[in-house]
Order: sequence, then structure tokens, then C-alpha cells
Amino acid sequence: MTGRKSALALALASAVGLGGCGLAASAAGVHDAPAPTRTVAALPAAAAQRVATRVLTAAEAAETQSSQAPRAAVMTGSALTMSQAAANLGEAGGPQAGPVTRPNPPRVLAISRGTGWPRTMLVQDAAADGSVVLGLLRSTDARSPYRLAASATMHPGTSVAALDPLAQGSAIGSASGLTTTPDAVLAQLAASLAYPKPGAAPDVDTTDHFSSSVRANATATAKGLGALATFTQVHRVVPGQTVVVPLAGGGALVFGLLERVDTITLKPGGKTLTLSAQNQKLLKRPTLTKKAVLQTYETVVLTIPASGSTSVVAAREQLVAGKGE
Amino acid sequence: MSTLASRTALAALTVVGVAVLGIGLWLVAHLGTSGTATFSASPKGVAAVLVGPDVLNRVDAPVTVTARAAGGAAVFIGAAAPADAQAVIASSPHASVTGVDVTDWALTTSTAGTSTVGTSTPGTSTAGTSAPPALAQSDVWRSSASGRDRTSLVLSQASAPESLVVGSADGATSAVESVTLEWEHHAWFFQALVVTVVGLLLTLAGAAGLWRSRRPVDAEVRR
Repeated sequence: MTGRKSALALALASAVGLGGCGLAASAAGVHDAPAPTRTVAALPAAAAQRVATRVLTAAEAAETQSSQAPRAAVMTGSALTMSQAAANLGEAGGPQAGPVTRPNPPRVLAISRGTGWPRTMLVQDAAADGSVVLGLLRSTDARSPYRLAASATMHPGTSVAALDPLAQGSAIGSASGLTTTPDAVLAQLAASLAYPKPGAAPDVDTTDHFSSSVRANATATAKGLGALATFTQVHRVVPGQTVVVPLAGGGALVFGLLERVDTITLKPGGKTLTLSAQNQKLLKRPTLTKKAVLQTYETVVLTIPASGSTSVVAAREQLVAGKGE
Repeated sequence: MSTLASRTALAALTVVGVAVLGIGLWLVAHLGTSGTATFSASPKGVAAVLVGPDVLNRVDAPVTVTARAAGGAAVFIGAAAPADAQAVIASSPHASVTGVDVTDWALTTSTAGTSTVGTSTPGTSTAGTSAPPALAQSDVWRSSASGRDRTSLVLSQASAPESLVVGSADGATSAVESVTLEWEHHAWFFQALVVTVVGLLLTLAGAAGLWRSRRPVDAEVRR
């Protein structure tokens, strides 16, 4: 009996003690930590703004350097390839006298949602010439900083439809309910830019500034070569470089990378062809006797609306490689 | 109730009252009139410290985190989503703050991995561990602070749940000397005051009862 009483007293004392602790914790305002939510942006807007400003400022400064190391620290993917190619061809700006300063900070338009990797940020920035540039910043893992992965200059008169609220984040990499897939529209655009035989692009409006310019340049080049050589131009979509940013009202903004290959083949019995200064630098020869193959990267940004035709809203091209004989 | 039982109960009441009064005074002394609870830890020989939401986000008051680096080295504090903070730490040697111990006003910690801090040879971690992260190079931080020798960061609870990582900005293996978490919650001072007053009342009630119950016995003894 005494043993039972002792056990009962111990149990009561424990219950009162534990209850007392719980009550004291509760009275002190101690509660369980809230559960994590995955339907928010990977970074708050203010932190994303700081990151975007830092990366774009550093990228602008790196553009003025001839070596690759500063570029590789702040750029990746096609942005790095194109920037380094521009530097190799002497197209990059000269060294700055002081640090790069930005009169207007970039504007963050979209941030990846959730905690997955890689993460992407869509930013809008103003170039030195006043044009508007769309950029993609990417971070591959928790220990790697964001780097500029792609950028393209917006065409005059174009715009980007509303994106998801920054706090909510965007499901970058996927978009549901599209009338055509991003891969399909990029393939159609690539086909439509072929010269001399363009393919059909039923879902893409190819009257934009970029497409018109590419076609006009191809025609002018072929005309300039005349009877001396033939000129062909093909585009292909570079796999693994497409990034899809869903729009708030349906549809998507699509970043894609096209590789353009220009082939100049001298006709039999033709004479030598004197190259332009830029091509001489790239091909490391002053003239052609047989053939030249020039590789150009084209970053294109397309808007796939909820309904209607897809159109190119921004583009950037850069001659990156070539060989001649 | 017998006189003996009554006296025993009153004595117990007095003891409980004294204990509650002591606890109340002790809480008032530590919390101060601002109601600031300060808990510290001095993890030995680790280059990074992880503080999870189960410690940071248990009360609604803002928390001030202060970190000191050994030898006046640079120290970095970053707040991130819990999954991101864990991903930055990865398998590098670190101490995790697992709770607070009010009796010592200390942070309780557990250590993971084998640390190499304090050695002058970087990159000599034991197999299975990774190098300390260069915290400033990561872009997961919602807010951060860094400084030489000592730095502080105030976190509101608006972004909870969050985790904190304290360590080196550039991945150096210098040790974190101490981490202090400080919550300021004015109500805690008044609650401690209430405990003190309750303890005082219990003590007075018990003591007065004992005093009153002793007089008849004394009178009986005198007769």
C-alpha cells in the first residue's frame, strides 16, 4: 500500500511538475517554431535586390577586363562565353579608371520559389546607352553565389507581362497551360531564320526586330558575296540553356540560346576573299581561299502569351568562334 | 486537521514560498527591468555554429545574436531558411545550438564533424568532413552582418522559421569564440515580479500561520 501511495505521489508530482513547466513556458510566450513554407520566394525582395546589384555591377566591371578570371567569378553559361568572345575580338570596353557605379539599381522581376536548386532570378537593368536589358542570374547550390547566366537587350516597344509577386516567388523552369512548348517555339524560330530556305514558324511572329535584322543581314551578305561565294545560315537550339519563367496571367517568358552557323563557300574557280577586320581577328587570316564557318551565339527572349503568337522581345548576339581555310 | 498536520502544511507552504520568492528574485536579477534573457555558448574549436528555428523562433520577441571570433578574426552571421542554412553548413565541422538552459543562462550545443580550427594548416579536416564554408560567398542570406572580432545581428520574427549560421566570411578555419542570443520581452520582467510577489505572499502566509499555531502550544507547555 505504501509503495502504491509513493508511486501515485511520484506520478502526481511529475504531472504537476511537467504541467507547471508547460504552463510557465506558455505564460512566458514560448511556443513551437512555425513550420517552414515552400510557397515563398527563395530570397526576400530586399536581399534579392542586393544580390542583383552586386552581380550586375561586378559583371559590368568584368566586361572591361581582358582576362577570363574576373568574368568567370560573376558570369556563367552563355553570358560568360559571349562576354569572353567579345573580349577576344576586342569588342569589350576598355579598362575603367575607377569602380563601376550604377546610377539606377537593377529591378528584380522574378525569383525562384521554394528551397530547390538551382535558383534563378530575372532582372531588368538599364544599359549605358539607355536600352533595357533582361538578365538571368543563377545560383547552382547553397555555397555558390548568383552569377549572370544570360542577358538580352529588349527591343523598342516590347514589354514583359506581369509576373508572379516577388514575395510569392515564381515556379521558374516550368509553366503549365501553354499553347505551345518552349522547345517547340524555339525550334520554329530557329527554322524560320535559316537562309536561304527558311522553315515555317506557325506559332511564332517572326516580324520582330531581331528576326527581321538576322534575315536582312543574311540577304545582304549573300548579295555582297555575289558570284564569288555562296552563303548559308542555319540556326539550332542549344540544349540545356532554355529557362522558362511563368507569367502571372498565363503564358511564359522563355530564355533560349540559338547557335547560328554562317558558312561562306567560295565557288570553284573563285578568287580569294578578303575578310573583314573582325573576321580576320577571329579566323587569324586575312583572306579565304575555300571556306569559312562562323559560329554566333544568339540569346533570345520570347513571350509565349496565354493565347496568340509567340514573339521575340529581347535578343543578344555575339560571334564566338570560326574557322577558315 | 491535527495541529501537527497543520504545522507541517504551513511549514511546507513557507518552504515553497521561500523557493518561489528565490526564483522570482533570481529571474528579476537576470532579466532586469527590460525583460532581457541572455544565453551564451562558447563552443570549443569549431569554425561554424548553427542555430535552428527551434531555438530562434520559439518566442515572438526579436532576437539579437552576437558572435565573437577567436583572436580578433573576422566573423560572419547570416540568417537563412533552415534548409539553406543546413545546406551551407553541409558536413563541415560545426556546433548546433539545441536549446537554452535557464539554470545556467547558457545555450546547449552539440558538435558534429571533427574540427581543425586552431591549427595553422588549412584543409586538414578528418575524412568525411568538408572545409568550413565561406559564408560571405553564399547568396542564401536573408540578412547578415560581419565584422572583425565581434558582430551582431537583430532578427525579427517576421521571417520565421529561420536558421542562423555563425562562422568565417571567407572560409578561414578560425574558431568562433562565443555566440550569445538575447531576447527582450518586457512582459518577462513583470512576470518575474509577479512570481516574486507570490513567493513573498506564500512565505509570509506560511510564516504567519506557523507563528500563530505555535502560541497555544507554548501556553499549554507553560501551564
